[in-house]
Amino acid sequence: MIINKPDSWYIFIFSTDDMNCPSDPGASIAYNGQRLKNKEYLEHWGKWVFFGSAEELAEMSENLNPYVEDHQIPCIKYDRAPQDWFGLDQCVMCVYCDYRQRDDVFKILSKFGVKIKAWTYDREVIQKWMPGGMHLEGWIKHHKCSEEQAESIRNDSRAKYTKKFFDRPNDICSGWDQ
Amino acid sequence: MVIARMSGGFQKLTENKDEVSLEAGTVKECIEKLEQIHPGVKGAFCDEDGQVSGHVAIYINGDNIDEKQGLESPLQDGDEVDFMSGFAGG
Repeated sequence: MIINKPDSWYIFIFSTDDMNCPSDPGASIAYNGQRLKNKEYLEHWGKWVFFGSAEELAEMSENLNPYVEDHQIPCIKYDRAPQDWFGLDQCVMCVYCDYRQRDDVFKILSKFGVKIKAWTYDREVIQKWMPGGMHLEGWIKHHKCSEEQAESIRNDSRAKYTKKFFDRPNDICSGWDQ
Repeated sequence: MVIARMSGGFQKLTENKDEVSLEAGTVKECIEKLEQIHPGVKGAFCDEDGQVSGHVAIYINGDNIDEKQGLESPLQDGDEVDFMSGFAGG
């Protein structure tokens, strides 16, 4: 199911099952039918990342949607427009899965012409959004935040990710807001 | 031979070629060879100290070299080295 809400920067693909029963933002974070705990998520969960124009990724999403519905791919996220605050001139598609199934998922992607093999763990992304991380500091700089605002954003970020993932390793992972 | 593959805007550095085949024993050597073929690549990927720039992510067969031996990561015949913006996928 392609979820295209105009007020979101991202367009998502989740299986209809994961969207409806239960309606749980972390329902797709699973391996072999088992939901991952936070510590497992940080160890294994990640994504294949590649670029394309908005039109190319829209076409790719139509191609990949059946594989998500069939649970061969857990979920997908992609930009509706290039993220100019990161200096990107193309959109990015992230195809999520557990590391242990990434080769199977890449075989599907390669059917549709994906050549770039760039695997990124979610733990790497979280670090980039923590204080001092490349993404958070770049976002703060781009939005010309005052030092007071920047510190508040850093503190919020630290609290959010620490509380959500690192302090509760045995909780079932519920993902994070995108 | 290894395949060096450029993603997104980095293809501008290789005259819009998405991949270049070359002989290299390490990632560092791969970048040096690319620089010989397409001057400007090294300056785009590495900082003044010769380390990988923060805005660049390099992968060998899908795995980030940060989780290997960085620029000294060894390459074998048939390996695929992918260059991508470090901002992608945030």
